Amino acid sequence: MKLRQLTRSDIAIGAAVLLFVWAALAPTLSARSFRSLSERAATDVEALRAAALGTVASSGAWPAAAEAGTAPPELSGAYPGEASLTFDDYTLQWVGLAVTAYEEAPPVTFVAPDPDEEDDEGSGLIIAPGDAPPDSVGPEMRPVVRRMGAVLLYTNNDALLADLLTRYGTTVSYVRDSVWTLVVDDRETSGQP
Amino acid sequence: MQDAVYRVNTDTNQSRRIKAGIATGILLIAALVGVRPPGLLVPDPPASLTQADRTQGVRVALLLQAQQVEAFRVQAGRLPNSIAEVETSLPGIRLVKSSNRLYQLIAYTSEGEPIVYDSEVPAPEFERLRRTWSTTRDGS
Repeated sequence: MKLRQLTRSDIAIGAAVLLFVWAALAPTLSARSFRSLSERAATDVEALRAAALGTVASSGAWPAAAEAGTAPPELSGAYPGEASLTFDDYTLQWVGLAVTAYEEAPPVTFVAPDPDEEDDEGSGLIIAPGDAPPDSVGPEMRPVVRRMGAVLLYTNNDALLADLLTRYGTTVSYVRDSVWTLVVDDRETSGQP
Repeated sequence: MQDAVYRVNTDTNQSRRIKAGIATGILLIAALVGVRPPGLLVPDPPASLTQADRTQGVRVALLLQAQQVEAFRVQAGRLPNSIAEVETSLPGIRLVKSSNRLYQLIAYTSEGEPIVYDSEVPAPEFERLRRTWSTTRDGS
């Protein structure tokens, strides 16, 4: 059949078949598009996280906090996206965090009293008669500030927020409003998906 | 002769009606597949956020903010006068000082329900989360 011999009925059948194919494939194409978006977002998050961990490993200091969409100056060379953290469907941000932890204070020196020395200042705690033995005292804990960081991802796509939450778990990441946050800690690697 | 062939309507009325019926049938099936696609054509749906996820998010945000306040207290030897005074302040969280030592952090869920972090007696949910990042005074 030549093209010129197509009637309107033939064209209507062709159009209906095309619509059917589109309707049948649309869910799969949509899911594939979302998977691609989710993979891209996770890759960008991982790049930022790895760059920050690399910085703290090499210099001992976490990158400074930066505005949303802008990489911290320390990461401009390490992050493949250069300085821009704004993408089509989401924006990334790096922030610094602090947590308090308790660590053992240096042990106190106990000394027996020296009858010849009047000034015992600075020589440690004096054991007086009736005191508990020094080794019966537990370690003293003191608060210290430990640095961490966080990757924030801003998006209006709730499915992407949920996907990242599923990927990283609710222990080191959380969603609030339209922001997904991943806490980055250099002590552990459980934040990896 | 060739021109004459082009001008001839090759569809009879009967075949036109049949083709129109076929086109309409395919269109109806396409519409049905578009509106309610059969399970065979639908991949697994992506994860969705539950109310529990969002409430957990508010709790973690409160705990992180509390950590920023505690870090400020360790470094400055006092509580901050406002949430803006700490190095990192998360949005939507209010600081209420009840004394020079005690404070509460308040945030709201998307339903408008308040969740309070009390520095004196944090709720058990906060303690469980806190162990992820920092050791407590008893070393746990």
